[in-house]
Amino acid sequence: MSEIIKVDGLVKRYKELIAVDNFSMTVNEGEILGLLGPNGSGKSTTINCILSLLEFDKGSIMIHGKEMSPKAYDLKSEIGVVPQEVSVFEELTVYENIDFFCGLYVQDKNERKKLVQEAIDFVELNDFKKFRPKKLSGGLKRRLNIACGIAHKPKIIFFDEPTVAVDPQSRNKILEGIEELRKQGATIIYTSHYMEEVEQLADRIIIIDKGQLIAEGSVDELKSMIKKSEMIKIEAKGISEEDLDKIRKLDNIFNAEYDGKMLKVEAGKGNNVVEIIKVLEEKGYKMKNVYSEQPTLNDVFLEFTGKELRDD
Amino acid sequence: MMFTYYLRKTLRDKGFIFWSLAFPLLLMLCFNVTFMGPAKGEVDFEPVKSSIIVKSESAFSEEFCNVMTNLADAETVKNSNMGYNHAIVELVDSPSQEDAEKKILDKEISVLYLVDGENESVEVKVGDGANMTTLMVARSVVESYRRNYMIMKDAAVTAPDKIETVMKTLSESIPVMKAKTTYLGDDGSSANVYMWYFYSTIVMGMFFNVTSGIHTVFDIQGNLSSAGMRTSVSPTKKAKILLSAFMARYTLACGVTFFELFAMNKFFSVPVGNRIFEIIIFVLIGNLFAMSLGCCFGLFTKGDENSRDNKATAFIMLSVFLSGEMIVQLPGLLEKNLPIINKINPATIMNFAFYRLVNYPTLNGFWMNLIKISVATLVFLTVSIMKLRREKYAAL
Repeated sequence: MSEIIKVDGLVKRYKELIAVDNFSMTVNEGEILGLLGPNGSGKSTTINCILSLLEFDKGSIMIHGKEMSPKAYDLKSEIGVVPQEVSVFEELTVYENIDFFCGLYVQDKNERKKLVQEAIDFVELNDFKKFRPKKLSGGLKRRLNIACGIAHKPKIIFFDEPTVAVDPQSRNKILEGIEELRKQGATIIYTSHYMEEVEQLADRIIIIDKGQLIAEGSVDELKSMIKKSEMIKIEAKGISEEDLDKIRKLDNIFNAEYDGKMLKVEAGKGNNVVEIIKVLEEKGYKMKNVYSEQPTLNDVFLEFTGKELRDD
Repeated sequence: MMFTYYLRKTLRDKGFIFWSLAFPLLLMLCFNVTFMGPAKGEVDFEPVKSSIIVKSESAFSEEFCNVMTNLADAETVKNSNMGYNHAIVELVDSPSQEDAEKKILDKEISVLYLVDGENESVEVKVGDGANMTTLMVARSVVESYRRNYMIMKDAAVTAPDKIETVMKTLSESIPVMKAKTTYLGDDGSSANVYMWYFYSTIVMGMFFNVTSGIHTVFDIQGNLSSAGMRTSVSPTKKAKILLSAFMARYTLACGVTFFELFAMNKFFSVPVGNRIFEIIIFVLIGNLFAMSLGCCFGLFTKGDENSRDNKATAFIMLSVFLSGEMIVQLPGLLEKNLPIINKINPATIMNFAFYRLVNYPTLNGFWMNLIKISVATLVFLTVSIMKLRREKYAAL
């Protein structure tokens, strides 16, 4: 896969605050890149710099090997943006909004008509074409927001937290739509602080915090980077502190806690469940249910930064 | 395409329709009802009891007395184009100024005209309890007489062969300022209350387009709105988008003002004169000023779009208020006590410009006022464009 976007040593300061700190990344053609980080981590600032909406202090941004700038109109014509906020005109109808924003890219009226209809079909807003945005539900507005960003069939699409405040049904529709766009050949940069979404969608993930790149790789690669590989939960009664200590001392066990009902053990790679159950059986504890959970991206983030990813 | 959509967007903007179109028309209707009665209604009134004291005699004082005698004669008034079927004034003999002043205090007469023939001036004295009609009649008679006399005098010197025609025209035009009018002092000129309220409303309607300027910069500026961000990342040049958004709103704003002028003239019978070219220039510059001021408000004040709209609207309200939209005497009072306000207040400048355009024989004052507004417009536009160019978000 060829490199489509290359960000090198990007620095963006807001007076004393360093919003993006020597950040570098690449985006490959046809992939979905997840940009993951808590609120205020520098995701949107990075995106705004890439889009030439913001000037930056240092570094370079290349798209298709050309330097991105406010006047790089040829590059801009290949880009589509779906901002976090629903960015449409309240006075125009669904159709008119899509046509207006598509018209900023496509001058030919007939071609635009076809593209607008395709976008409406894509986000399934056919029944709402003549509606004004204020009459649409939150989920439908989000779909309109997406349609306005993709109607001109861009090759590179930036999705900036497109599912904020959306019901689960609409969220699934949006995520399915993004998958479909990738299948159609678009390269997608998806920013979110919802790790499940990024985990579900992204081929590759970049974790960003305080404007710095924390980790980069596929979901599996990221999870393999951390020590913790499993969270084991066992429902059991009356485990003594002495036996808990025995469990803690087993190989690959980082921590074990017991609240009187549930034993929670953080473990690394290995045959951990078997070893723990063996200890409990030897002591005659009766166990009800045993769970083994794989680490999440939040665990990855926690291990790299010492804090939770999700702050809401 | 963009122009059409911005046009459509503005037409569906309830704020624009209300403040720039509906509100001024509603206000005109209120003024019409207040000053003219609910139906076609001329204000009917009793002849105003008046005395004339001639302090020094000349052709000026003699002609003034003749005019007053005509106004006191019901038949003459009926046969004129004044639109009344009774006398405008009732002349009461007063042997001296002191006697006439006593009569005013005793409410035997309402108005005393002190005519100084040598200096060609008329001083008007009214009692404390003089009502609006009395004031209107008194001032109207004097101001019109003074103006017409000057024209006659000028004609006698410059075109003595046409003096008869001029006199005929003027004798018909003296009663034009029917009894609905009064005058206020300004920078040496005078203004008709009824017309002033309407003209002020037209200016107010134009100035409310300041919000159109704000919305224009919000529509294109990436750091001000998310829709602006969307337009900024597109390959369409920002200057082109700006021009489309601005021109669409400007076209509508001018259209609305022309409609208001038409409505004012046709439905409320307020004269707009026949200087079509100058009226067009007035409307174009007035709206351009409002929108360029709006651009500055959009770019330089803080807060969201509504908050900036509110600030701009408050500014316009103050400007229009000071120009006499609510209290017609205010510009006159300001002229006496704080004349700088009248000189810098855009609404006052525009009101006087239009008043002069409609009522004055020469247009010097009109053009001077328009030049002042044009200079301000140019400054606002330059500053706005510089700010837009220097903005960190996608430059023009």
